[in-house]
Amino acid sequence: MTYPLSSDVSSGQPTAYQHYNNLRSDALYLGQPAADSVSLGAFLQRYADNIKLEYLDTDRLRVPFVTTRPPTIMIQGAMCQATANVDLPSNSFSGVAATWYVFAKRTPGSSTFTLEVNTSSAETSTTRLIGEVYWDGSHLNPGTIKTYTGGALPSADYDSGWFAVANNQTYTKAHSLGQPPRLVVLLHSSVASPGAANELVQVNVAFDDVSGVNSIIGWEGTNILITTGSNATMGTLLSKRRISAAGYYRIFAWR
Amino acid sequence: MSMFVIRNADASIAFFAEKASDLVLAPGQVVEELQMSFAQYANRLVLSVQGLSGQTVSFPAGEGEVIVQVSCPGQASVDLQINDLVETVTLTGGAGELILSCQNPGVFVIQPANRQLYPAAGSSLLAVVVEEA
Repeated sequence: MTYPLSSDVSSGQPTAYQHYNNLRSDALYLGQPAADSVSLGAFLQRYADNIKLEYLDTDRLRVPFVTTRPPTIMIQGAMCQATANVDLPSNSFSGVAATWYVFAKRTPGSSTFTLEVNTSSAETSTTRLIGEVYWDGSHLNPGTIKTYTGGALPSADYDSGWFAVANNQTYTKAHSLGQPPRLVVLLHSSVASPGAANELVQVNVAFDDVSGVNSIIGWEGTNILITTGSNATMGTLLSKRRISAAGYYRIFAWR
Repeated sequence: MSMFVIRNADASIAFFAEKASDLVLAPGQVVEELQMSFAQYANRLVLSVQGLSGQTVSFPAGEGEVIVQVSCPGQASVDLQINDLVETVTLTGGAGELILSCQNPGVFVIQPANRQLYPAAGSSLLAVVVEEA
Protein backbone atom coordinates (compact mmCIF):
# COMPACT_ATOMS: atom_id res chain seq x y z
CA MET A 1 0.00 0.00 0.00
CA THR A 2 1.19 3.48 -0.83
CA TYR A 3 2.50 5.49 2.07
CA PRO A 4 1.42 8.07 2.94
CA LEU A 5 -2.21 7.66 1.98
CA SER A 6 -3.00 11.27 2.77
CA SER A 7 -2.16 14.09 0.38
CA ASP A 8 -1.86 17.86 0.51
CA VAL A 9 -5.11 19.83 0.49
CA SER A 10 -5.17 23.00 -1.61
CA SER A 11 -6.37 26.29 -0.23
CA GLY A 12 -10.14 26.51 -0.63
CA GLN A 13 -10.49 22.80 -1.40
CA PRO A 14 -13.13 21.18 0.77
CA THR A 15 -11.67 18.46 3.00
CA ALA A 16 -13.51 15.27 2.16
CA TYR A 17 -14.04 12.52 4.71
CA GLN A 18 -11.54 10.39 2.75
CA HIS A 19 -8.84 12.99 3.42
CA TYR A 20 -9.53 12.68 7.11
CA ASN A 21 -9.57 8.88 7.03
CA ASN A 22 -6.34 8.70 5.04
CA LEU A 23 -4.70 11.09 7.46
CA ARG A 24 -5.94 9.03 10.38
CA SER A 25 -4.74 5.81 8.78
CA ASP A 26 -1.31 7.33 8.22
CA ALA A 27 -1.16 8.53 11.82
CA LEU A 28 -2.32 5.29 13.37
CA TYR A 29 -1.06 2.58 11.00
CA LEU A 30 1.53 4.27 8.75
CA GLY A 31 -0.94 3.85 5.88
CA GLN A 32 -1.43 0.12 6.34
CA PRO A 33 -4.84 -1.56 6.68
CA ALA A 34 -5.91 -1.75 10.32
CA ALA A 35 -6.16 -5.52 9.97
CA ASP A 36 -2.46 -5.76 9.05
CA SER A 37 -0.91 -3.57 11.70
CA VAL A 38 -1.18 -2.62 15.34
CA SER A 39 -1.51 1.07 15.94
CA LEU A 40 1.64 3.16 16.37
CA GLY A 41 0.75 3.69 20.02
CA ALA A 42 0.47 -0.04 20.62
CA PHE A 43 3.65 -0.67 18.66
CA LEU A 44 5.59 1.75 20.87
CA GLN A 45 3.80 0.84 24.10
CA ARG A 46 6.87 -0.96 25.55
CA TYR A 47 9.42 1.31 23.90
CA ALA A 48 12.42 2.34 25.99
CA ASP A 49 15.88 3.52 25.02
CA ASN A 50 18.96 4.43 27.04
CA ILE A 51 17.31 3.36 30.27
CA LYS A 52 19.98 1.87 32.51
CA LEU A 53 19.81 1.50 36.27
CA GLU A 54 23.02 2.22 38.15
CA TYR A 55 24.03 2.04 41.80
CA LEU A 56 24.13 5.52 43.34
CA ASP A 57 24.36 4.98 47.10
CA THR A 58 23.60 2.38 49.73
CA ASP A 59 19.88 2.98 49.23
CA ARG A 60 19.71 4.86 45.95
CA LEU A 61 19.64 4.14 42.22
CA ARG A 62 20.14 6.34 39.17
CA VAL A 63 19.20 6.37 35.51
CA PRO A 64 22.09 8.43 34.12
CA PHE A 65 21.46 11.18 31.59
CA VAL A 66 23.73 11.48 28.56
CA THR A 67 23.04 14.36 26.18
CA THR A 68 23.54 12.28 23.06
CA ARG A 69 21.57 9.34 24.46
CA PRO A 70 18.76 10.73 26.62
CA PRO A 71 16.77 8.20 28.65
CA THR A 72 13.50 7.83 26.78
CA ILE A 73 10.55 5.66 27.70
CA MET A 74 6.88 5.21 26.89
CA ILE A 75 4.94 5.07 30.16
CA GLN A 76 1.33 3.98 29.79
CA GLY A 77 1.03 5.77 26.45
CA ALA A 78 2.92 8.93 27.39
CA MET A 79 6.25 9.62 25.67
CA CYS A 80 8.66 10.62 28.43
CA GLN A 81 12.25 11.76 28.13
CA ALA A 82 14.68 12.73 30.89
CA THR A 83 16.62 15.98 30.69
CA ALA A 84 18.93 15.20 33.60
CA ASN A 85 19.97 12.27 35.78
CA VAL A 86 16.94 10.55 37.25
CA ASP A 87 17.69 9.63 40.88
CA LEU A 88 15.68 7.51 43.25
CA PRO A 89 15.10 9.47 46.48
CA SER A 90 16.75 8.31 49.71
CA ASN A 91 14.77 6.21 52.16
CA SER A 92 12.83 4.51 49.39
CA PHE A 93 13.75 1.05 50.73
CA SER A 94 12.78 -0.36 54.11
CA GLY A 95 11.98 -3.54 55.98
CA VAL A 96 13.45 -7.00 55.69
CA ALA A 97 15.62 -8.33 52.89
CA ALA A 98 13.73 -8.67 49.63
CA THR A 99 13.80 -8.10 45.89
CA TRP A 100 12.45 -4.63 45.08
CA TYR A 101 11.10 -3.66 41.69
CA VAL A 102 11.99 -0.36 40.07
CA PHE A 103 9.50 1.73 38.11
CA ALA A 104 9.68 4.76 35.85
CA LYS A 105 6.83 7.03 36.91
CA ARG A 106 5.18 9.77 34.88
CA THR A 107 3.45 12.76 36.39
CA PRO A 108 0.66 14.75 34.68
CA GLY A 109 2.09 18.05 33.48
CA SER A 110 5.62 16.70 33.03
CA SER A 111 7.27 15.08 30.00
CA THR A 112 10.12 13.61 32.04
CA PHE A 113 9.87 10.83 34.62
CA THR A 114 10.91 9.91 38.15
CA LEU A 115 11.83 6.62 39.83
CA GLU A 116 9.99 4.70 42.51
CA VAL A 117 10.34 1.21 43.98
CA ASN A 118 8.00 -1.39 45.37
CA THR A 119 8.15 -5.02 46.48
CA SER A 120 5.30 -5.69 44.07
CA SER A 121 6.08 -5.83 40.35
CA ALA A 122 2.62 -4.66 39.30
CA GLU A 123 2.49 -1.56 37.10
CA THR A 124 -0.08 1.18 37.69
CA SER A 125 -1.68 3.74 35.38
CA THR A 126 1.37 6.00 35.83
CA THR A 127 4.26 3.56 36.17
CA ARG A 128 6.33 1.26 33.97
CA LEU A 129 8.42 -1.60 35.36
CA ILE A 130 12.06 -1.12 34.34
CA GLY A 131 14.14 -3.30 36.67
CA GLU A 132 14.86 -4.84 40.04
CA VAL A 133 17.43 -4.81 42.84
CA TYR A 134 18.03 -6.78 46.02
CA TRP A 135 17.73 -4.96 49.36
CA ASP A 136 19.45 -6.89 52.18
CA GLY A 137 17.64 -5.05 54.95
CA SER A 138 20.18 -2.27 55.30
CA HIS A 139 21.72 -1.61 51.89
CA LEU A 140 21.44 -2.40 48.19
CA ASN A 141 23.57 -5.11 46.64
CA PRO A 142 25.05 -3.47 43.51
CA GLY A 143 25.57 -6.81 41.78
CA THR A 144 21.84 -7.52 41.83
CA ILE A 145 20.75 -4.49 39.83
CA LYS A 146 18.93 -5.56 36.70
CA THR A 147 17.53 -3.33 33.99
CA TYR A 148 14.68 -5.00 32.11
CA THR A 149 14.59 -2.45 29.32
CA GLY A 150 18.10 -3.11 28.11
CA GLY A 151 20.56 -0.35 27.50
CA ALA A 152 24.12 0.16 26.40
CA LEU A 153 25.21 -3.06 28.14
CA PRO A 154 22.39 -5.53 28.69
CA SER A 155 22.17 -7.47 31.91
CA ALA A 156 23.84 -10.86 31.79
CA ASP A 157 21.68 -13.73 30.63
CA TYR A 158 23.32 -15.98 33.23
CA ASP A 159 24.52 -14.95 36.67
CA SER A 160 25.99 -17.64 38.92
CA GLY A 161 25.81 -15.56 42.08
CA TRP A 162 28.84 -15.66 44.39
CA PHE A 163 30.38 -18.97 45.40
CA ALA A 164 33.39 -19.73 47.58
CA VAL A 165 36.44 -21.11 45.82
CA ALA A 166 39.85 -22.61 46.53
CA ASN A 167 42.88 -23.67 44.54
CA ASN A 168 43.05 -27.02 42.70
CA GLN A 169 39.29 -27.46 42.23
CA THR A 170 36.85 -27.73 39.32
CA TYR A 171 33.54 -25.88 39.41
CA THR A 172 30.88 -26.72 36.83
CA LYS A 173 27.85 -24.47 36.39
CA ALA A 174 24.88 -25.09 34.07
CA HIS A 175 24.21 -21.76 32.34
CA SER A 176 20.84 -22.76 30.76
CA LEU A 177 21.36 -20.43 27.81
CA GLY A 178 20.42 -23.07 25.26
CA GLN A 179 23.57 -22.33 23.27
CA PRO A 180 27.24 -21.66 23.99
CA PRO A 181 27.52 -18.18 25.52
CA ARG A 182 29.06 -15.50 23.31
CA LEU A 183 30.69 -13.76 26.25
CA VAL A 184 31.71 -15.02 29.70
CA VAL A 185 33.15 -12.86 32.46
CA LEU A 186 34.58 -14.33 35.67
CA LEU A 187 34.99 -12.03 38.68
CA HIS A 188 36.91 -12.55 41.93
CA SER A 189 35.96 -10.99 45.24
CA SER A 190 37.98 -11.26 48.43
CA VAL A 191 34.84 -10.87 50.56
CA ALA A 192 31.61 -12.85 50.51
CA SER A 193 29.20 -9.99 49.92
CA PRO A 194 31.06 -7.17 48.16
CA GLY A 195 29.73 -3.64 48.26
CA ALA A 196 30.59 -0.67 46.10
CA ALA A 197 33.86 -0.09 48.00
CA ASN A 198 35.15 -3.65 47.52
CA GLU A 199 37.37 -4.14 44.51
CA LEU A 200 36.37 -6.90 42.12
CA VAL A 201 39.05 -8.33 39.87
CA GLN A 202 38.36 -9.99 36.54
CA VAL A 203 39.89 -13.45 36.48
CA ASN A 204 41.87 -14.10 33.35
CA VAL A 205 44.54 -16.51 34.57
CA ALA A 206 45.67 -18.41 37.65
CA PHE A 207 48.85 -20.30 38.49
CA ASP A 208 49.30 -24.03 38.44
CA ASP A 209 52.36 -25.68 40.00
CA VAL A 210 52.70 -28.07 37.05
CA SER A 211 51.68 -26.03 34.03
CA GLY A 212 52.33 -22.47 35.16
CA VAL A 213 50.14 -19.53 34.15
CA ASN A 214 46.85 -20.74 32.68
CA SER A 215 43.48 -19.53 31.57
CA ILE A 216 41.08 -21.39 33.84
CA ILE A 217 37.64 -21.02 32.24
CA GLY A 218 35.88 -22.82 29.40
CA TRP A 219 32.32 -23.32 28.23
CA GLU A 220 30.07 -25.27 25.89
CA GLY A 221 26.36 -25.39 25.14
CA THR A 222 25.37 -26.57 28.60
CA ASN A 223 28.04 -25.71 31.15
CA ILE A 224 30.66 -23.21 32.16
CA LEU A 225 33.67 -24.98 33.62
CA ILE A 226 36.38 -23.52 35.83
CA THR A 227 39.46 -25.38 36.98
CA THR A 228 41.57 -23.45 39.44
CA GLY A 229 45.34 -23.81 39.54
CA SER A 230 47.07 -25.97 42.11
CA ASN A 231 49.31 -23.23 43.42
CA ALA A 232 48.76 -22.48 47.11
CA THR A 233 49.03 -18.70 46.73
CA MET A 234 47.83 -17.93 43.17
CA GLY A 235 45.53 -20.84 42.37
CA THR A 236 42.31 -18.82 42.02
CA LEU A 237 43.67 -15.47 40.86
CA LEU A 238 46.86 -14.13 39.34
CA SER A 239 46.56 -10.43 38.74
CA LYS A 240 48.52 -7.23 39.22
CA ARG A 241 45.68 -6.13 41.49
CA ARG A 242 45.94 -9.08 43.87
CA ILE A 243 46.65 -12.79 44.01
CA SER A 244 44.63 -15.45 45.78
CA ALA A 245 44.17 -19.15 46.34
CA ALA A 246 40.72 -18.62 47.87
CA GLY A 247 38.01 -15.95 47.83
CA TYR A 248 34.79 -15.91 45.80
CA TYR A 249 33.89 -16.21 42.14
CA ARG A 250 30.89 -14.95 40.20
CA ILE A 251 30.23 -15.76 36.56
CA PHE A 252 28.30 -13.60 34.11
CA ALA A 253 27.44 -14.91 30.64
CA TRP A 254 25.64 -13.45 27.63
CA ARG A 255 24.01 -15.38 24.81
CA MET B 1 16.87 -16.22 52.77
CA SER B 2 18.90 -19.32 52.08
CA MET B 3 22.24 -20.48 50.71
CA PHE B 4 23.71 -23.80 49.70
CA VAL B 5 26.56 -25.96 50.97
CA ILE B 6 28.06 -28.55 48.65
CA ARG B 7 29.58 -31.51 50.47
CA ASN B 8 31.91 -34.16 49.11
CA ALA B 9 31.28 -37.89 49.52
CA ASP B 10 33.36 -37.86 52.73
CA ALA B 11 31.06 -35.08 54.11
CA SER B 12 33.78 -32.45 53.87
CA ILE B 13 32.60 -29.08 52.53
CA ALA B 14 33.64 -28.61 48.90
CA PHE B 15 32.34 -25.05 48.63
CA PHE B 16 29.23 -22.97 49.24
CA ALA B 17 27.14 -20.86 46.93
CA GLU B 18 24.37 -18.29 46.72
CA LYS B 19 22.52 -20.37 44.12
CA ALA B 20 21.98 -24.09 43.63
CA SER B 21 19.88 -24.25 40.46
CA ASP B 22 22.97 -24.18 38.26
CA LEU B 23 25.14 -26.63 40.19
CA VAL B 24 26.59 -29.61 38.36
CA LEU B 25 27.78 -31.91 41.11
CA ALA B 26 30.78 -34.20 41.05
CA PRO B 27 30.10 -37.88 41.84
CA GLY B 28 29.22 -38.32 45.51
CA GLN B 29 28.59 -34.63 46.16
CA VAL B 30 25.36 -33.54 47.83
CA VAL B 31 23.75 -30.15 48.40
CA GLU B 32 22.43 -28.81 51.71
CA GLU B 33 20.16 -25.78 51.83
CA LEU B 34 20.63 -23.61 54.92
CA GLN B 35 18.34 -20.82 56.08
CA MET B 36 20.92 -18.09 56.42
CA SER B 37 22.55 -15.58 54.12
CA PHE B 38 25.61 -16.38 52.04
CA ALA B 39 27.56 -13.72 53.94
CA GLN B 40 26.49 -15.08 57.32
CA TYR B 41 27.74 -18.53 56.38
CA ALA B 42 30.99 -17.14 55.01
CA ASN B 43 31.59 -15.20 58.22
CA ARG B 44 31.47 -18.32 60.40
CA LEU B 45 35.25 -18.54 60.06
CA VAL B 46 37.25 -15.67 58.61
CA LEU B 47 41.05 -15.62 58.54
CA SER B 48 42.55 -12.23 57.84
CA VAL B 49 45.74 -10.20 58.08
CA GLN B 50 45.47 -6.45 58.47
CA GLY B 51 41.85 -6.64 57.42
CA LEU B 52 42.56 -8.63 54.26
CA SER B 53 40.92 -12.00 53.71
CA GLY B 54 40.16 -14.12 50.67
CA GLN B 55 43.49 -13.22 49.10
CA THR B 56 47.16 -13.97 49.51
CA VAL B 57 49.14 -11.57 51.67
CA SER B 58 52.90 -11.10 51.49
CA PHE B 59 55.51 -9.84 53.93
CA PRO B 60 59.28 -9.49 53.72
CA ALA B 61 61.37 -11.96 55.69
CA GLY B 62 62.91 -10.51 58.82
CA GLU B 63 62.60 -10.29 62.52
CA GLY B 64 58.92 -9.39 62.61
CA GLU B 65 55.77 -11.41 62.97
CA VAL B 66 52.55 -11.69 61.04
CA ILE B 67 49.41 -11.65 63.14
CA VAL B 68 46.52 -13.57 61.60
CA GLN B 69 43.14 -12.48 62.94
CA VAL B 70 40.79 -15.40 63.50
CA SER B 71 37.05 -14.67 63.62
CA CYS B 72 34.78 -17.55 64.51
CA PRO B 73 31.66 -16.12 66.16
CA GLY B 74 30.09 -18.13 68.96
CA GLN B 75 33.06 -20.46 69.44
CA ALA B 76 35.55 -20.71 72.32
CA SER B 77 38.28 -22.18 70.12
CA VAL B 78 38.92 -23.40 66.60
CA ASP B 79 41.44 -25.86 65.21
CA LEU B 80 43.44 -24.53 62.30
CA GLN B 81 45.82 -26.35 60.06
CA ILE B 82 48.96 -24.38 59.29
CA ASN B 83 50.68 -26.26 56.48
CA ASP B 84 50.87 -29.74 57.99
CA LEU B 85 50.44 -28.81 61.65
CA VAL B 86 47.17 -28.39 63.53
CA GLU B 87 46.97 -25.68 66.15
CA THR B 88 44.10 -24.81 68.45
CA VAL B 89 43.38 -21.09 68.58
CA THR B 90 41.66 -19.90 71.74
CA LEU B 91 38.97 -17.32 71.07
CA THR B 92 37.56 -14.54 73.19
CA GLY B 93 34.22 -13.26 72.03
CA GLY B 94 34.68 -15.32 68.90
CA ALA B 95 37.99 -13.66 68.01
CA GLY B 96 41.60 -14.76 68.37
CA GLU B 97 45.03 -14.48 66.84
CA LEU B 98 47.58 -16.71 65.24
CA ILE B 99 51.16 -15.44 65.19
CA LEU B 100 53.48 -16.44 62.38
CA SER B 101 57.19 -15.85 62.27
CA CYS B 102 58.71 -13.93 59.40
CA GLN B 103 62.18 -15.25 60.14
CA ASN B 104 62.42 -17.60 57.17
CA PRO B 105 61.00 -17.19 53.65
CA GLY B 106 58.20 -19.55 52.80
CA VAL B 107 54.44 -19.95 52.52
CA PHE B 108 51.96 -20.50 55.33
CA VAL B 109 48.69 -22.02 54.18
CA ILE B 110 46.11 -21.70 56.95
CA GLN B 111 42.80 -23.50 56.77
CA PRO B 112 40.27 -25.16 59.08
CA ALA B 113 41.29 -28.55 60.43
CA ASN B 114 37.70 -29.76 60.53
CA ARG B 115 36.53 -29.61 56.89
CA GLN B 116 33.12 -31.00 57.74
CA LEU B 117 32.47 -27.96 59.89
CA TYR B 118 34.22 -25.24 57.91
CA PRO B 119 35.21 -25.03 54.25
CA ALA B 120 38.79 -24.63 53.10
CA ALA B 121 37.61 -21.97 50.67
CA GLY B 122 36.32 -18.41 50.55
CA SER B 123 37.48 -16.44 53.58
CA SER B 124 38.40 -19.54 55.61
CA LEU B 125 41.55 -20.26 53.61
CA LEU B 126 44.47 -17.88 53.80
CA ALA B 127 47.93 -17.98 52.28
CA VAL B 128 50.67 -15.87 53.86
CA VAL B 129 53.87 -15.49 51.87
CA VAL B 130 57.10 -14.55 53.60
CA GLU B 131 59.34 -13.31 50.82
CA GLU B 132 63.10 -13.04 50.60
CA ALA B 133 63.97 -9.61 51.91
